[in-house]
Amino acid sequence: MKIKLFLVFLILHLFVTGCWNRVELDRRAIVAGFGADKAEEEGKIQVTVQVVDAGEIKAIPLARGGSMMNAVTVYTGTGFTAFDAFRNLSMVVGEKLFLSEVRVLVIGEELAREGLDKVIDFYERDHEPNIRDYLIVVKGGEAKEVLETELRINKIWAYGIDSMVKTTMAHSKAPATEIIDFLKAVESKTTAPVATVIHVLRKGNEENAGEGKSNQDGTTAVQPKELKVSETAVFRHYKLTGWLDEKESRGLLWVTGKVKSGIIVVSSPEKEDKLAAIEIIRAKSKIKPEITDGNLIINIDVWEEGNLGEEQPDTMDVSKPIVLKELEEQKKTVIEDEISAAVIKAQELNADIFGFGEAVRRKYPREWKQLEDQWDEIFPTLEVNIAVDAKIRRTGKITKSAEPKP
Amino acid sequence: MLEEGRISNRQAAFLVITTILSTTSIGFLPSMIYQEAAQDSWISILLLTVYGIVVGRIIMSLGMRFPDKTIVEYAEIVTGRIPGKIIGFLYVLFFLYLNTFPIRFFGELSITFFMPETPLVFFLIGIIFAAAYAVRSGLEVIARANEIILPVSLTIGIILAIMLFPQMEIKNFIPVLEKGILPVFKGTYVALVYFAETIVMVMFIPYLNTTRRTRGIIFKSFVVISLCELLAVVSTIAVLGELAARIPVPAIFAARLVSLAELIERVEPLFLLLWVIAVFVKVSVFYYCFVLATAQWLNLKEYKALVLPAGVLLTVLSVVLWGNIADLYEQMVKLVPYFVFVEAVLPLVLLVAACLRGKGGTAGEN
Repeated sequence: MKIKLFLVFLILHLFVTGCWNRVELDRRAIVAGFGADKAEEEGKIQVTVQVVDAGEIKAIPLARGGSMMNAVTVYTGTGFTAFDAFRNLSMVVGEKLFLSEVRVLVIGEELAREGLDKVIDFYERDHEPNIRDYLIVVKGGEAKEVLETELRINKIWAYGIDSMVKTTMAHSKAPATEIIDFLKAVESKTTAPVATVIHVLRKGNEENAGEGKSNQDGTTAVQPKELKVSETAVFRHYKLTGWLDEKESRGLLWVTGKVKSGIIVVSSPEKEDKLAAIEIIRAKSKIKPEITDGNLIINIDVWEEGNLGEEQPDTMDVSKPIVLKELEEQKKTVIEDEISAAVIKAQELNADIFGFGEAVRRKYPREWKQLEDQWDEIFPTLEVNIAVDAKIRRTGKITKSAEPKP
Repeated sequence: MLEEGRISNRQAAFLVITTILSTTSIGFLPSMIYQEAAQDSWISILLLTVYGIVVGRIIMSLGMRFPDKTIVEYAEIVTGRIPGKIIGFLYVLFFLYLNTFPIRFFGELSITFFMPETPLVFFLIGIIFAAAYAVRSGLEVIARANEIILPVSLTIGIILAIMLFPQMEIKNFIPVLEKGILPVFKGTYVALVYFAETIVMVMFIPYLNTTRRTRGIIFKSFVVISLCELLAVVSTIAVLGELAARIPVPAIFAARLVSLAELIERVEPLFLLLWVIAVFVKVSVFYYCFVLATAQWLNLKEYKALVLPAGVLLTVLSVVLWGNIADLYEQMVKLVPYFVFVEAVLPLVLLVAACLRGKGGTAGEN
């Protein structure tokens, strides 16, 4: 009896093999990059997806005699909402699109100005996409254009964009914003969300763009188009309101404590026209609001540590502590300058990208109740004190650069 | 006697822990508490722990006056035949009705997060079938299975919390008591039902293999429950911040955010495992209580014949009682007073009545 029952259950297993809506891997169109733009038709949304050609991923790379440098196909379609447009794409692709492997959400400038709410909700609600994907805004362009740009660093171009965003930690001239960071800022009453910015760089004029230096197989060595990740997009709630340039972007990152590495260029203490470059090793920051006699002041404390990475010859003797002290002073001024540039820009845009409001709320919950509703009036004229503590710890493998003996 | 098996105090405590934790920490409760209490949810949890211990003590004191009977049997002794039958029937209904919440929620969660096109009943039949098998095998089997399940699920939970550690931000908890103490109390409201689920002990006390030190069950379970609960709530708030209010199951959402060195990502299947085994125990426990209570209420000699019909009833009720997930939430909040009445108020009334009328032995040990 028991054996029979056991057999019945065993046979049952054959029929209950998986989930209801399972789609085998080869029947799935895996999306690597998701882009959204305002469509030409009024009120519609244009969605661009980069679909991975599964067979091409393992193909032999070009360098070793392979034929393909790309493993993706780009499709564009429109619909009334993002989800609608996305599902309409299946008409073109012929397979159901699968969003779990997406790593970048690219938004065209026009749509960003109109509001990201039209895309983000779908992205957060659906069970496939991951809200830890990067959120990228195309400055002066369309998401379609970005996703159509061929990249050499990765056969799956969207993953190339992903690694470009990850590499912002090397220069700290653009934030690496995940969708969840954006959402957290949207939900805060005062904080203004930011997003990473990507530029499309066109090489030469359009006509000979396709006729760069040709390789033997007909592909071009110089790409007609390139992408560049730098700068910051500033939002008010869901709507794009302005940009921070590279300097201001780093200023923002100093304040939010997200500077990982980067180069600071200072002029030599002894000769104005000679420069020195200092690499940032680590940095920390603290936002300290202070209310004295009803006046709100924000104090920003930044602590930074770096190594001398380069000096232009014939300038200084860095083996002397006094010279390093001077360099530290120079560096401190540059950092302060970057931060105040960002603060001024943010106040101009009236966008609290640093989370000053939240900092006040945490420290002065009682006073905050009055300030909260007037924050839009308070923020642009807020007094911000910047205190930077910049250190130079090491000077590299050599002390002095090679100099011709007099 | 209807049930031949005997469980130890430890097994009983384990059952209580799994029963309460499966909905409160990894289920929908953290989000509901957060909606009211925001960053002070952890204070709500502490309040709830005190409440849970108090209610637990009442339930245990009542049960220990009648150490060889369940509430369905001794309600008649305490209040007389007709009122006793009515109270017994209330508990029968309660065990049936409360169980439909975790069952339905289990289905809804699996659909939303994992398999959007699978029909609901397949999840429900799956979990109820497994639970039916456990119930048919008796209390001892459920308790023993749980002795494996609870440590496994706690381990998974702790691993998940550790993996989320890089994304936690302590500033999400500041300022403390921003909007005063009132929201903290409001946050406890919905959870009152779930922290009083020690009520299942009224069905288990006669089957404990010892009557010594039984009160420790409550205290020990609540220490574990409270710690796990705090771990769950604190880590979800630390990771998600204000997002936690909009997400029905913050824990699973947080699990999706795990990203360690770009190597360990999207660990939510781990969470699903934890969720399935924990809910299985909870459903089995209530299912068992319902079947046993019904059998005793009808004076049957055996409860096993009731298992399959009860399973069908549970499945059907879980499907038809709520049209959609919004319905489910609304009912969950609306029914709180009724559930709390059955879980906490009624035992207290019975305890007082039993004391006044001198029914039952003096409460076991002290």
